[in-house]
Amino acid sequence: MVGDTKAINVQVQLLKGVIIFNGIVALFAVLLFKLGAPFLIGLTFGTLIALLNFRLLHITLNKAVQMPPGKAQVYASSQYFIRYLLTGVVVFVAIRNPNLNVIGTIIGLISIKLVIIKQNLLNSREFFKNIFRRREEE
Amino acid sequence: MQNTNFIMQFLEWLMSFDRRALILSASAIGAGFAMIAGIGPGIGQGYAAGKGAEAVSYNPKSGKQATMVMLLGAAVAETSGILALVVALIMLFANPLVNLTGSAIVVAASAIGAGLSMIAGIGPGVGQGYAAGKGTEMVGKRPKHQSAIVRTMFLGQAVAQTTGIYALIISLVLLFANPLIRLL
Repeated sequence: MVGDTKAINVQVQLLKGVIIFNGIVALFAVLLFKLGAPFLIGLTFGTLIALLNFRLLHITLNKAVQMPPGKAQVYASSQYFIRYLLTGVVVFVAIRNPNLNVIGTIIGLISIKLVIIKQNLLNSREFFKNIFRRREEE
Repeated sequence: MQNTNFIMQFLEWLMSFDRRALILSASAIGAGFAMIAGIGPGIGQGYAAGKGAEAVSYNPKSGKQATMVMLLGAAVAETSGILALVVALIMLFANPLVNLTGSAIVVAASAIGAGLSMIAGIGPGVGQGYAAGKGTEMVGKRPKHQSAIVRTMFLGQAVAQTTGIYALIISLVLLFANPLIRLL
């Protein structure tokens, strides 16, 4: 049960991170680059699909770990291609629809990956200190 | 006298087509090549899931933790697939090369090159999936060291992504700011 709440906490943290990141991107886009509604709608659209994809990945992997390793491998790969197709449809719609900015949508789709790396990699100074610390000093 | 060199014959045959048709057909080949990169994350995520299933069966107590690590790792592994997809769809539906002036064969070759460059996305996809799998395996075995394992895994994944980004840059340069046309 402890693991359950931890997994939910990670997802809530990620959701917050994605909202903050995209908020900053939207602010920069509007104030500095004078981009209008299509960019913001594209960004929201891309972000929502990225979050949906992440949720689908969560469901897929939770199912996959209950299977024998070989079967899990095939199942996860096939589910990946379904999500890939979904992403393809989203980018296609963004390119075809003049009300959606393609670049905004792509930033939205990739933002979740950047937030994951930021939250897990750049959250501890000790880790970076340890990389450069010499063994003799210990 | 007819040219007997096969390559010259082929190039002459290519130049017999309309300029626009040549560029569009090259874009179609390029888009197809770009999509090959989709294999990478597929293999990587499959590997990660296989390792996750192993980790859970070895040590069911740390199963939830291992699954969470795998989820984050696998999500990052998808990135290069998305980038390849974007390049392929740009070539199909918002092709910037069609209206480019300059030699038709150079523009057509650039379209194929832009697609070929994205094949590099296989590398980061497989590599990041491998890192996610190994991270999951070790968190399953030693749940106490989770934070150090996860950070190392993401450091590796971030580094692994760089070649994919280079490929994307080359591909976008060929599509949107082609330097070869100016050399003619």
